[in-house]
Amino acid sequence: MNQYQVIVGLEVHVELKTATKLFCSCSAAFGGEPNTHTCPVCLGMPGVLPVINQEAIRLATRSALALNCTVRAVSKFDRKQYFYPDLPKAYQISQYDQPLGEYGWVTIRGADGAAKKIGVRRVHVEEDAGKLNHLGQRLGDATGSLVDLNRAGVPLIEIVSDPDLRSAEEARLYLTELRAVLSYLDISDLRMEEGSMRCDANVSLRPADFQGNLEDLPRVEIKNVNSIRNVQRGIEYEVARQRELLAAGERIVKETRGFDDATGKTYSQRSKEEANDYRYFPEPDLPPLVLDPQWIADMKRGLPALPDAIRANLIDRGMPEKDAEVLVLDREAYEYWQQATALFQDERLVTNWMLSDLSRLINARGESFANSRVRPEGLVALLGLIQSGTLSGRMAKEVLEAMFETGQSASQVVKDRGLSQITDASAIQSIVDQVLKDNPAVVQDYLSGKEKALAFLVGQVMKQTRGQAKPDLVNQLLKDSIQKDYAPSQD
Amino acid sequence: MELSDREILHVARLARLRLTADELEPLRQDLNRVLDYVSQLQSLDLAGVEPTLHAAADQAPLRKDIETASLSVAEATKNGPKVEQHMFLVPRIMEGGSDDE
Repeated sequence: MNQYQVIVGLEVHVELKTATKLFCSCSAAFGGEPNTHTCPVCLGMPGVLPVINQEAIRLATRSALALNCTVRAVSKFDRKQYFYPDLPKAYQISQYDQPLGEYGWVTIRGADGAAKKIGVRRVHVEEDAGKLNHLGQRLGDATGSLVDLNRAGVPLIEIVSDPDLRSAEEARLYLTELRAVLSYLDISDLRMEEGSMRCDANVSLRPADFQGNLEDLPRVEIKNVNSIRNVQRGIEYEVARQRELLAAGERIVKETRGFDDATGKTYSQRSKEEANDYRYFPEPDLPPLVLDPQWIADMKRGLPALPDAIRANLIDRGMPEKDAEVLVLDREAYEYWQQATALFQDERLVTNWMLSDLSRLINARGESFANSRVRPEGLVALLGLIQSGTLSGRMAKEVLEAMFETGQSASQVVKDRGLSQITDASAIQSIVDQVLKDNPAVVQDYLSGKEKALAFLVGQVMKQTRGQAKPDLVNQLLKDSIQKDYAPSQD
Repeated sequence: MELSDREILHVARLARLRLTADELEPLRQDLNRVLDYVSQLQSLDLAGVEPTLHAAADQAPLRKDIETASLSVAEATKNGPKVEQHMFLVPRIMEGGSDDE
């Protein structure tokens, strides 16, 4: 039986976070009442002319540079022509043979930690289409469709990877890293569920003995999947489907398929047997886009720290790789961490509290680090109380929860609940004496070498102090008292 | 250069033109004449000549990202043959019936 290698390339569309559309001054905001963000330009009226939004070009250039692309000083726009109800002009203004950026890459790291560069073939600028609301469950049984052109003309970048991905897992890693890189650039909301980031996956299987061009393999395109997880699922399903077909001696038909979230399956949407014929030609309404090479170079120098550099820095500082990964992939968490560690020396303590207790509270509420009620200063104040011995770790968890619920400061919660830790030995000594007196057998166990017996005694003291005694102090007092009052004399 | 039936029908389909059999031949002749006219270019030696991508300005002007008022919904949808819920109502979209992306 023939062996096959999985070949995947991804096309990612990202809506740029501009105030206005790419070629007109209508609002580019998501949603809005239908057809309230339209004008003669984005409605495709005759006689209008597009004018390029400079902010869209700035954001696109920033993205291309962050993805290690070479940015062209001169690029051009082209018409991609097709008929569809969401495209009022019957052509999309896009970039064909002179895209803004080319020859970039994204580095992914698998479970084994090995780095792999995934080529970014191109980053180009284009306009989005309108939104179709089908009157029916889905396109197939719709009786008609309602067209809202608010989105028509919103600026997009399309990021096309090389066919370098060899599994659904690598596709997931690539998308995760790509999204992380873009998140540090402030160029888009990157919300897949709202469509501000969309992904199409091209999947084919290469027979072991195939030596030709990858582009010649029959390719299936999975369109518009709405989450990274579903891209992975869609590719997994598609690989299995194609393997089965090939094993049965059938051929793969070049086609476009949709992904059904509920069943985890892809389904045929349209055969691509007849090659697309978009009849691209240079957009006559737009002269070439010319950028100052100095402007491009300055922008490259002005890029913020990106995930690769941040990751390396965190690991250099002694953070476990796993923790660094969690922080890097969540820009808000990383910024929270930066603010907290600027105020507090013990980075490890900050990381641990952020990634365990605070994360748990934030996730349980569907909130994020950016809008969490407990701000970095608040968390740091709490950690200060642990460090000074005022609070035990266990008490601090309780205080954090209360801070999260009420928005109060750590010191306020401690005061209101009378929670401060008993650090005064004399206040604990009488309880220690009583516990030892009440548990002579356990004391003997300890003296005969059963270390665990001490834990029981510590527990008894903690119980009597309602958890407020400082555990290591209790430990010490118990040991001292047993030695003094119960141990057989050494002389 | 002679265009085949297949080429003509393909172009007609892309342009959403439904041709009858007796329209095919006159159209072939018209298209061939257009191609002949343009093919004069083939006789020129254009090696090293930059393609003319645009006839006018050499550089696209850029616009500031400042929002201006859009049309009212009524105005925006005025030309729609059918409008429902402030949106253009289009007939059922046939799968496979389009050359869209």
